[in-house]
Amino acid sequence: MNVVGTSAKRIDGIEKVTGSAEFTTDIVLPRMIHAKVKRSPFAHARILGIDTSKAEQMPGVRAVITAADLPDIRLGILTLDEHLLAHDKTRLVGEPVAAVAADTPEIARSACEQIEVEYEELPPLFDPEEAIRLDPPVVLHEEYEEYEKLLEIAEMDERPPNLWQAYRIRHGDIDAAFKQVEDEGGHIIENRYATGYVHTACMEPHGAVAQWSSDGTLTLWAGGQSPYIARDGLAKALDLSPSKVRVIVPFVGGAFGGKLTVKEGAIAAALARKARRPVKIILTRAEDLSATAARTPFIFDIKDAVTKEGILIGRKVTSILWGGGYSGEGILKPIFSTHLYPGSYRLAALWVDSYGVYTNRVSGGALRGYGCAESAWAVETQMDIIARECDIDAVELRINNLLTEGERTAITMPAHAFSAHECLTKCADAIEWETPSESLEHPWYRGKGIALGNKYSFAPTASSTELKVHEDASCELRTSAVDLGQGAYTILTQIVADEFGIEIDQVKLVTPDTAITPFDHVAGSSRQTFHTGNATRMACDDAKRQIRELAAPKLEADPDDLDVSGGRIFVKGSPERSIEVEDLFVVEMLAGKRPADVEVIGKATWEVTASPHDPNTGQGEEPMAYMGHGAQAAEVEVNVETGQVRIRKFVSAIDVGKAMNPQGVEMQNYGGGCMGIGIALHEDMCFDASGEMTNASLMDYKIPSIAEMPLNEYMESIIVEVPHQHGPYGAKGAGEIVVVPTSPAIGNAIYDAIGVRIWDQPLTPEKVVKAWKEKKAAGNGSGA
Amino acid sequence: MIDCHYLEPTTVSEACALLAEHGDGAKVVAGGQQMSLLLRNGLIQPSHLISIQHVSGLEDIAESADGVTIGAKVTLNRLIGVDNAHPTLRALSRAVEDVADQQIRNFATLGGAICEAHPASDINVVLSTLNASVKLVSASGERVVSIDDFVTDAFATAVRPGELLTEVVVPSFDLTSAAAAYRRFVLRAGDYSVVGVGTFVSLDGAGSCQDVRIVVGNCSGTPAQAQEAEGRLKGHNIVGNNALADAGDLAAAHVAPSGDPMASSEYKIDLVNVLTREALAEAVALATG
Repeated sequence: MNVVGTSAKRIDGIEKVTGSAEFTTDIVLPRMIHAKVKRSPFAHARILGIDTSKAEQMPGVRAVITAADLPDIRLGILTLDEHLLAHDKTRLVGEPVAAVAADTPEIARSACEQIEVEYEELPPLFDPEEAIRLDPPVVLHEEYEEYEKLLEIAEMDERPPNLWQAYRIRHGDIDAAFKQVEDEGGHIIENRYATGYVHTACMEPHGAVAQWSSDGTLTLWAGGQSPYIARDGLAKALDLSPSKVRVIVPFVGGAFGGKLTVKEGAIAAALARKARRPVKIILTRAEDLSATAARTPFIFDIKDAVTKEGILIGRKVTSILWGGGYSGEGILKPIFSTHLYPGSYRLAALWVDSYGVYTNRVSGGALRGYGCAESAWAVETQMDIIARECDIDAVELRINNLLTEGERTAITMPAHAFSAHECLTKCADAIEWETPSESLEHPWYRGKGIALGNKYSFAPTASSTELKVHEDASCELRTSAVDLGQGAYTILTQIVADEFGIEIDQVKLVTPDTAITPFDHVAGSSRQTFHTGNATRMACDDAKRQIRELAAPKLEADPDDLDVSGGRIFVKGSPERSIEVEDLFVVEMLAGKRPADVEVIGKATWEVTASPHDPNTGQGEEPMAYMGHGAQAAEVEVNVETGQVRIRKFVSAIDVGKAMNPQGVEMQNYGGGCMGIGIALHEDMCFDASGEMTNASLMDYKIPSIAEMPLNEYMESIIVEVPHQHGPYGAKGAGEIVVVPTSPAIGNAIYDAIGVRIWDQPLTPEKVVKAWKEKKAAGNGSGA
Repeated sequence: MIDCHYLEPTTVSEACALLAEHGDGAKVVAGGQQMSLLLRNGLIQPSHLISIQHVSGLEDIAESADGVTIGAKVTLNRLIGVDNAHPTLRALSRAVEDVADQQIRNFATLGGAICEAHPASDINVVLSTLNASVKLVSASGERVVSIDDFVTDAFATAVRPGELLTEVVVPSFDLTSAAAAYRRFVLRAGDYSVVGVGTFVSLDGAGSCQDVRIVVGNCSGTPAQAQEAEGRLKGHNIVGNNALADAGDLAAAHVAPSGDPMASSEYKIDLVNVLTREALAEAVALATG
């Protein structure tokens, strides 16, 4: 049976298409009431007092909470800087200040309006370059030094008061690299790039249902990315033992990094405890867009030393992550984004200073590509500029600078299963790179662009699974991996079916429930196929070992000489000497069948260790679990009068090691491409002078529609398979690499079409027109 | 919280009586596409919603020598392709094709779209370009008001308490020598326009412009006539010379749109220039075609 590698149908497909799949919002419990959050209208303010008396007296209101009802505990991923409800200050518009549970969501919303909060407005700070000064105009966290921190940052003579992350890379002799290039007349290329504010904007907004049982156990249903991160976060926020928290993950309507933690779930839990009723909270679309973590902007200053022959020998980068009011899930981005500075390229010298700072805007979070999608924008645009400066073809220049298998990058990541060359050349072939774009009639211009990308999958990390074998030879996989829409449940089912030689419908999944399913780190960092896939294979092996041991006496054979497949146990080489799995079970009075000896439950933990890099040098042992590779190319049509950019053709070539489900990979290619196109051209969270988001609706926050995508036949998915030594069946993840090269591929295509660079995302029509006008004003605007 | 009375009259006179009875607090709802947004966002708090869903007689499209009369309840989707039977509605039909999406157009009515008076409404710009007028009926009688007089500001109209918009009249014109066109720019399919421009031109056999109308959308509260641009064209030969480009420049020079998060004032002005020229070129091509 070869189920792995086939385009098996999505096991959740019918449920989702028919609407029977249960999401958090579908959950209704007896006596359940509804929560709404009172949010700060100010980007920066001191809370002088909160009067909840009017709200509490409203008919239908069952509980009102403020920070006073919660333990005085600061939360966070690695720097614990945030209260669940604002304690003494608010540091962004939309920060939760109080919450109400009432019989209906409408009553809860009205009650929130009746809560009176007395604020002392403080001057807000939005500019990251002001924020990073040693003498900033505003300090957001006066008590920063007292905060608990779980991560060491780079040593500094004096820490700028708004800085929460500093990371350095010191590899090779950077001064020598620049001197060599200066001496021999090579190229020094220096540019500034910026990314924008992007939201995950999942179809399913954030939400949770919380219920307490009489023994003091909290059960929370929430569509998050990790039941265990959620469990431990809830326990911390509410000062409970983790064993007193049970998290169940229903179907999830997209996450993309935005559902790592369940802050709203903790608020619902606190309300439920006070009201002694189950509480449901579902954020409105406006709350979801404006008050949950977003992909906040980076500023990148990159300076490259390139020889006359087009070999990159030195790179200097200073970057600032424009963090929000709290460090949040963005805490590691200034570190992880550095993986793209070497990326797939050999770099003799690399010098990086990477920072994260507080500002009074939405907190930084994860979004598909965690830092790499952002740094790729800078690095891969820079590679295009270098190619043009050196007058070398952009594909050839990249190839000339690629690492080879077995080498280590400038940040000590081994180049293993190194497929950059294959991804790049297959992508170039598909976009007909050698053939220039056709000329169109003014004001339309066509051009092609290409970019390479990497995506690490972080370590240390672990996944555990359990596999129970039933008397009918069906298998039940217990996993805390989460299917966010990426297809994890189907892949894991395929693995079990493959390992046991059974049909897909003989595999049942027990989906995330911390009372039942074992630890899995997170559905993030493109890790479920790789890590949970490995754990699943190992749990299958463990279960098969148990079966072989149970069957050995019956078959009068050594367990090692037995094999299990298709519901039978047989002697290797003599398949006629076999018994059914069912024969291992005996009839028990009143109970049907039970296992003859012990329950067959395979268990396994797959673990990848890694030691943290020295934050002062960026050097150390192998820092990540694996590195994914991919290349994308776009052919665009640009209207220089309106600035409209149409993607005429889009190619995405990604290396997945082994395509566990080729159709699933194809969908990642298409879906990721669409998301990447949105980030490159359309999506932009806008803020007014007070720090409030001004386009917090799906009408105004421009997620592209299908009409903005290339026509079907012009959207091409290429699957590259260079197996990874540690991947299950050789597989690597596909979830994030598909958005990493998209923006630079499109930006480079725009340059090819009309000869202008736009340095800050998104590349909106207005920016295109402005850049074109500037080019014409500079006197070389006769055409592309 | 939405807390109001929902009434369902079955005739125009019943609807008018209810509107008169409940005065300012009464709002008409037809397809409900705008109303649901206005209510959800708390922009209006009506005491009574008067649904005209069951009012008959507001769904006809009829043509006479004077023009085409379109019932207020005609849905936007019904207007797509309506120019096959009523060729003077070509620009309206084409504009409606790009409004919102299929599901919304199935419910949204022409009357509702007009009364919303959204500054970025494509429909009011096209109707203004076509010199259309609306009929308003009340318990005490009826009156006909031009679109230009009807739309008084962003989200504001000349409708009086007790009045119901029952039909739209688009006057006829000579299709052999005149034509209308509409061009818009959107950031995403189905969005409200960043800028829209409607043009109407009537030419004599020599290419001289006998009549012209240029209306710019989303650069002020109401559709705005570009009189300076019109002045550059009327009475002049406009075929095969710079006239249309000049008109684009003039239209752009005389708008003062406010910027918004999605588009700055400067960018909107650029678009007015481009779209005016393009819409004029399309109308001229049709009129001379």
